[in-house]
Amino acid sequence: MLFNSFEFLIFFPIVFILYWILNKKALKWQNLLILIASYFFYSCWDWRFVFLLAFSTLLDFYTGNKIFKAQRIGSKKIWLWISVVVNLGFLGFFKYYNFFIDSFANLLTNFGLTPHYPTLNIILPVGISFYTFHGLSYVIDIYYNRFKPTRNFVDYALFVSFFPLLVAGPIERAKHLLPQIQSKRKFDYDLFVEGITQMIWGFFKKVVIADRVAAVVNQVYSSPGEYGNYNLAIATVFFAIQIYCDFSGYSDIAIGAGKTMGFRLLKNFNMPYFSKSLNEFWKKWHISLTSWFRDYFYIPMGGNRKGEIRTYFNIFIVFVVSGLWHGAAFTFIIWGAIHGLMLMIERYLKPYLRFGKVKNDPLFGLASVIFTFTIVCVGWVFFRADSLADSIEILKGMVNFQSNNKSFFELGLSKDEFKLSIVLIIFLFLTEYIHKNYNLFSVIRGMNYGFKYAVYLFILFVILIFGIYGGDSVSEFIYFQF
Amino acid sequence: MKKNALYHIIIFLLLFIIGLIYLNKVFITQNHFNNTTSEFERLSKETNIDLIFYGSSHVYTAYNPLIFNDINKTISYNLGSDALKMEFTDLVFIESIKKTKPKLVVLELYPASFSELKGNEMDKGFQLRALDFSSNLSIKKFKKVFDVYDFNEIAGVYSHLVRNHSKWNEVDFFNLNRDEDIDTIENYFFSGFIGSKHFLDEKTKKEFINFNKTKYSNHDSPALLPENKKQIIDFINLVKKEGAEILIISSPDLRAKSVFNESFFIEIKEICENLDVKFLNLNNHVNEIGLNLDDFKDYSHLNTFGSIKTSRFLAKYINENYKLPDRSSDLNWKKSSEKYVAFNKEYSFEKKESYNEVNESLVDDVILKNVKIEKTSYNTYQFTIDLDVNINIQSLSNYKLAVHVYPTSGNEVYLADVNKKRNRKYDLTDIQLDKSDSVKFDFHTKIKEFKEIEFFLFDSKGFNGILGKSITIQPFMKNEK
Repeated sequence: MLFNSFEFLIFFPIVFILYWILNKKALKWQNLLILIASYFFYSCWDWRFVFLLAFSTLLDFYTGNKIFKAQRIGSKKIWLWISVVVNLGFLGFFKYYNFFIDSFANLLTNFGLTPHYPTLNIILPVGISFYTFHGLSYVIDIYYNRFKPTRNFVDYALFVSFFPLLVAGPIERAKHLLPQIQSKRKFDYDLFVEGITQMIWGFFKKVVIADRVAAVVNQVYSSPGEYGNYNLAIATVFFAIQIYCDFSGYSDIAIGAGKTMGFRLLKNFNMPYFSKSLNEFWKKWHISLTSWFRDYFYIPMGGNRKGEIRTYFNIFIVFVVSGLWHGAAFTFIIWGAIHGLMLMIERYLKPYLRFGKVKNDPLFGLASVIFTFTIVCVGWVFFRADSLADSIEILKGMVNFQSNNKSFFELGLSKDEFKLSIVLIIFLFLTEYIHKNYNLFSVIRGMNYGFKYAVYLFILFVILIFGIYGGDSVSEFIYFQF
Repeated sequence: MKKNALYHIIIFLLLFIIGLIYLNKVFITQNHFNNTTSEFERLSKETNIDLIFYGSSHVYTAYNPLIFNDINKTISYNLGSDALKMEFTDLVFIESIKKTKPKLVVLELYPASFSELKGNEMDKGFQLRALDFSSNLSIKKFKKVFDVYDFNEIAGVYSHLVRNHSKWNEVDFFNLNRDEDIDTIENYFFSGFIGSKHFLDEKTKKEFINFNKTKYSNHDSPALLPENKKQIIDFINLVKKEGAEILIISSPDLRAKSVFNESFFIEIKEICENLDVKFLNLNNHVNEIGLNLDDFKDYSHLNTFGSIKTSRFLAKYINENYKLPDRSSDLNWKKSSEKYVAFNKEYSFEKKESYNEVNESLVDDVILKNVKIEKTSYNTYQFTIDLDVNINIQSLSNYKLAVHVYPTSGNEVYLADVNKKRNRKYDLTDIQLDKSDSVKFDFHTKIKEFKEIEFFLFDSKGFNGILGKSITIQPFMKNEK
């Protein structure tokens, strides 16, 4: 079930009402209700994979308890490795099996061998990358004594499968979410309004902006050879906006839905395109994943504690693995490698880039933001292109100043739609910029009711009028594939 | 929850619903069924409508309430809607009887009234017109919508905003009139009837040259499915329950004898006989009605000229078989009667002719002697041009004769669309010259009165300027009688 579907518009209010009706009963019934709702939510995509989710949940619940109870460090390690190997085994099989088999076969072919290898028609279970990371963080935290396992299976299962988070995060930590699951929630009207507002904002970003600019991205990226330099540049910038609105929109809906039910979920985005460096960008983009990799991969590998060279290596390898986490293709690995490499360069140049007063100059700040955004966009080319060859062609095309460009209005959007997209993008960034500095939730809360209602109604009707929805035009969120 | 919070939520939801209702009206797209329904609402407030036609475009193109009003001394209305299926016709009927109480219901059926809707996106779209007319609170409508439309289409069925929001740049947010601007030069609109002045193209004429034969050629495939029969029976019973009489008809269609299955009509007849209802298949009466190929706008629909003949035939049939209250003292009937006079003036065809002696040279060896023009149908003039030619036929074939017909003041509206678009002040044709003495050809134009006609020759290989000189005449078209 997609957040931007008619089904969700029916499903969510029903769950919401039942959830708060059950609030008067025991907490366990309320949790059980959301657990059932979450499994139903997941089964709407493919009911068969509910069993995989349930198995993964059982495994981590069981191994988590075993690790906690084990007296010897050796036993703890064994249980930890069972969980890690089985979880990553499933992830590897469903997500990477064909990629590695194909890559290995290509390698053999390069050496003149003709391999005969089996490829499988594997369906990638939606959200497997996310719930696997949920489970892993749980057992790893128990292993390091950061957290005591829960004895209530329903609570744990809900932590893994809570429907707002289930398929595209934010990737929660047991330490943060489980205590909220285990304690009684009280209906907080202000939190409810904040949640609804955030959901509406998320829908706006996804349905009005992401799905609109996607028309340009899809058209240009499907045959990049037919477009000139600024056409390709526009499509790439539009993709940057599309993926931001798509993914941060999803996160807003998820976090907002959580708030309406009394949960405070982890923040996932914080105006990443206003970052002045890549280091800052990764503190603001998909925050829950970055921190997961930092806590469960970078730091266990030694982080920055084992010397400069090792630090550079750790940064690079973390981003390559992060690329692979996003998708089983060389384009994703290169995307990760570009970010890893640029972060290494940034780290190396950091001492030399202290320009004293210049650093605080607004123009320098603007140049840094533009430079960082350009690097991010170069990365997005690999992330979005259908193949490595297409990525190279797009980058070459962008710097070919003799190429034939098409009019703005021949890139997949009509003149009116294109102009509207530009207006909406400006509106989005202005609003988010103001929100960053003044917290619009509080500003709106402080307004008189007439003005407050006007703001909400305006956004709602903008979604209903300018949104891309209805009929067959429901589009999946990009991060569902990861 | 605080009482205050609940109060604010309710106020907000109310405001949202009001906004939604307004935007739903904004996003209604223009179509002629809006004209039909808004006119129906207006008329039904002023008087009772005794005779109503239901069905598809077959209905709104064929049955002109002006004629029924005149012949049957009644107030009638045509609620035909594009591609309307039997499955949804009862919704139109139910909605209409909330506003008026018809004495006689005429339901038109033909094979496409029963074609499958699932997977047929275009026809599903057309059903929305009828569904829009039907109340959103109707449980019957809800059940039918769930049966036919996909789950993700349902919001669009019920909401114009959801359905048409992608046309945001085409709507007028401050003008809620969604009646279509009907081209009154090409079409005639009255009480749901939309008559067209279009004629069949030559290819279609050839294809259906034997449309008026007496026997059907298709008897094989099964005609009506059990659920189709049930729909007809249910509709008949529904109409009877409302105290109205019902007449089932099938409209003239060029495909009736060659493509449609005769058993379709036989089965409907059987159903009607069992329920003591009359069934009139007008395809069996095309010769009595006097229909010819010039009475159709396409293979499935009559044009205004065909509709005049068919409406008169059906009106007489109704007069002979049903008793409708005399409404001739009703103000609306009187207005209709006045309109009928104007309609007749506009659409009646009188044979006219003109004859001009010219005797002027187009080029040195080709003299335009006489021009005879006869009006042979509503939009056809037969030209007979006598030439005096002093060159051989081969040399003559190097010429084409251009004919430009200029309308009198007030007749410019009848110029062909293509000429209006190109800012031409005339309709035109050209004729390849290949006979030495006389040229005879049909000129199709809707211009009723000619101001002047211009003739000139040009190179038959392509227009590259006038050869010789142009000759202009002022024809005086007079009634043959």
